[in-house]
Amino acid sequence: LSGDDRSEVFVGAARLCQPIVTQVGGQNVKRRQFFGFLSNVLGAAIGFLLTVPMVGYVLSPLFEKGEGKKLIELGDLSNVAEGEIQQVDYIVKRVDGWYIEKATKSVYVTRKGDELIAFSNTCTHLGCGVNFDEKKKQFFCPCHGGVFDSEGRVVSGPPPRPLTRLKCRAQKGKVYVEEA
Amino acid sequence: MFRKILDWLDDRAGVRDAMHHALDEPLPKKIGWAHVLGSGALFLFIVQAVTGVLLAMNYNPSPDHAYWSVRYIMEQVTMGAVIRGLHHWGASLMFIVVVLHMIRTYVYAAYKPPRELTWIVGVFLLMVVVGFSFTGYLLPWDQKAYWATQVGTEIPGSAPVMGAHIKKIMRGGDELGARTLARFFAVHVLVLPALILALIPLHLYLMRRKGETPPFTDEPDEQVEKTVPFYPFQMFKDTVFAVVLLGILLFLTFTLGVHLEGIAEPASTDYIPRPEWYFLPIFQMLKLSFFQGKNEWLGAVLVPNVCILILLLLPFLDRNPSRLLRNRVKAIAAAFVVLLVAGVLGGIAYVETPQQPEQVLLTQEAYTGKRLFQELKCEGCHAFGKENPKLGPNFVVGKNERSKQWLITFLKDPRSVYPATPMIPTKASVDELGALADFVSFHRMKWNKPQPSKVGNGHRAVPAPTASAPADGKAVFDKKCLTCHQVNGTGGIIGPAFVDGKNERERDWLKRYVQSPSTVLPGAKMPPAGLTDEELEAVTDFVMKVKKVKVE
Repeated sequence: LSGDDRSEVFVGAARLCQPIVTQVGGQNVKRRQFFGFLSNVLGAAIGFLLTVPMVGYVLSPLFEKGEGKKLIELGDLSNVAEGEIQQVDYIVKRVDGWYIEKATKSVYVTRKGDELIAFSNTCTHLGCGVNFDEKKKQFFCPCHGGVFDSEGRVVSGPPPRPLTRLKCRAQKGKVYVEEA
Repeated sequence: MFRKILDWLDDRAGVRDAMHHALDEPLPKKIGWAHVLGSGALFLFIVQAVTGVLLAMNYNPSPDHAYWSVRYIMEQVTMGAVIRGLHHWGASLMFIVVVLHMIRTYVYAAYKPPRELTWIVGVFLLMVVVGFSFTGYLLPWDQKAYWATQVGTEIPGSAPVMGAHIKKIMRGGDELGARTLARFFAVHVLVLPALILALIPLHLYLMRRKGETPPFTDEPDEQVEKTVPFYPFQMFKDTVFAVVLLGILLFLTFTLGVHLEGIAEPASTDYIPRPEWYFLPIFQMLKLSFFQGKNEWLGAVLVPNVCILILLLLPFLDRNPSRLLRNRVKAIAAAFVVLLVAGVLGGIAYVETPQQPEQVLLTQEAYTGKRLFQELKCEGCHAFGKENPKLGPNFVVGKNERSKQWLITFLKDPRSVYPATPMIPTKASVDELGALADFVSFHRMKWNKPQPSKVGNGHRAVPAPTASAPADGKAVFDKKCLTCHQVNGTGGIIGPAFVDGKNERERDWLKRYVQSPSTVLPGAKMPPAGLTDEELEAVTDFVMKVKKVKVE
């Protein structure tokens, strides 16, 4: 704001707070201005004292510390066939504020030689769940028509990135995947 | 720029006129500090509305989640305890300010013509405020909430004819539960706010229409000199009062904090229910012998309703036209007596309130563990606090010295840790064992000194032993075995139950079994009874005379 603009704001604000008086005596004006000023200062103080906790409360989710992602055991490695994409559901304990639940999540797992691959089932466009079509060997997103191939690469549609690969590993014949 | 916007607003919406009308109202002389109470109540309403909306963002009105969502607000949400503190103390302060506002209005005789309607709307506002607090303090679903509402909904139930129906409507069913909580929440956040948002503007409109009452004068309103405009002089006083109120709220919030008891437990028998302090006069009145038994509904239903009716009709009941105190001695004396009686009753109730038994604030997991503790009949062997000891150690409130992992291992297979322990393995899933361990973590184990010869410790009704010799066996059984085994319907239900009859086992087998169950029957859950030879002989004699039965 330029100097002129600023003074205009002040004048305007003063007008708002201090409506035109019909009868003004000389000394009365100063008293009026003084008490008007005090009222406004106190009002601002009240507003401030109430606003600080309110804003903190509303912004609370921003201050939360995220928990580290756990590795989930999905079952035997022998169940994962070479080159075949398999959807695996798993149940994981989820603490959602005051709500503790056993949430069901889903992940696509496949094997390429010795390499174990896990795709998140979340479309990279706007987060819908993708389906795998066995015949076409492609992932389809039901929302905006995104299509990914069996390697997770974008074939067509709006997704900006390939399907997210989740950390995973095989250990003692069991498959472990990072929680989605 | 700013002026242009203001000009435009003024032209389209008449902003300056509205401001002028709102703020420049000339007030009669002698209006001053006594008149800040109404705007104080308005300020508190705004605080309640704003903090209430915020609380609702993290609240879930169902019996299994309400309490934990409030705990979440208190313990994990940034400034959550402060927001709840403002809301909690704001409710109490609102009550005080509203009552003072009424007393001031009464003393200044402002309810008299031509301002009857302002008073009547004010009485309706009072009822809405009472409704807010009554529905509000159920919402945290802690012990106080549950029991105060249990009693509070039982009270109208005592009314003749309609009582039972009113109670059922209030609760949404026969018992306090999910439906009660849901409807109290709906009334608290939807119905009453709508009502109060309609009544407050009406109250203000009526007040402005006839103007402030000129204090302590019988001059006609038009002739009373109007000296100062509302803004800024009265506004300044109102603002100072608002600062004081906010100061009190913040002070209480930061020094006393906000009370939250353990989760509501309909089964608890040692909790002492008390309503919020402003309902204590009615609470105490019901303890008067006159109001007990048949007359209870007179105190519980009739008196409060008659009081409200008198308040509503006050402008028409009090036909004395004078506003001068010296002409209103009877009216002032009557009000003084009413306030004194209410004050004394409330005071007695407050002073007489006994201290609540110690409560443990369990976490959600630990509470699940507590429920399992009951389901799995752990109470058969473990008593709480100073209760009479049972077979195992007593649970005393305090932090357990063992780690959660240790506790899980122990619970799962006690004898893998202490081979000689009488404790039996806990049949529970991994999650359940974790929850049980969490519950145990909130308690220290207190081992009991052996209690020689003290039969029938007063906790259970144990028949006195008769003089004949076999009675000794029964006495020993009552002391050592009754915790787990029923005899003829008395006793614990962990082990098999018995009734009079002939035992199918040989005497020698029974004796060896009682002495060391797992040697005789590998895998037996029963712990060794730890008896002297004499006791063993006696109890075996007794068991010979009972037979095992199946109990549902």
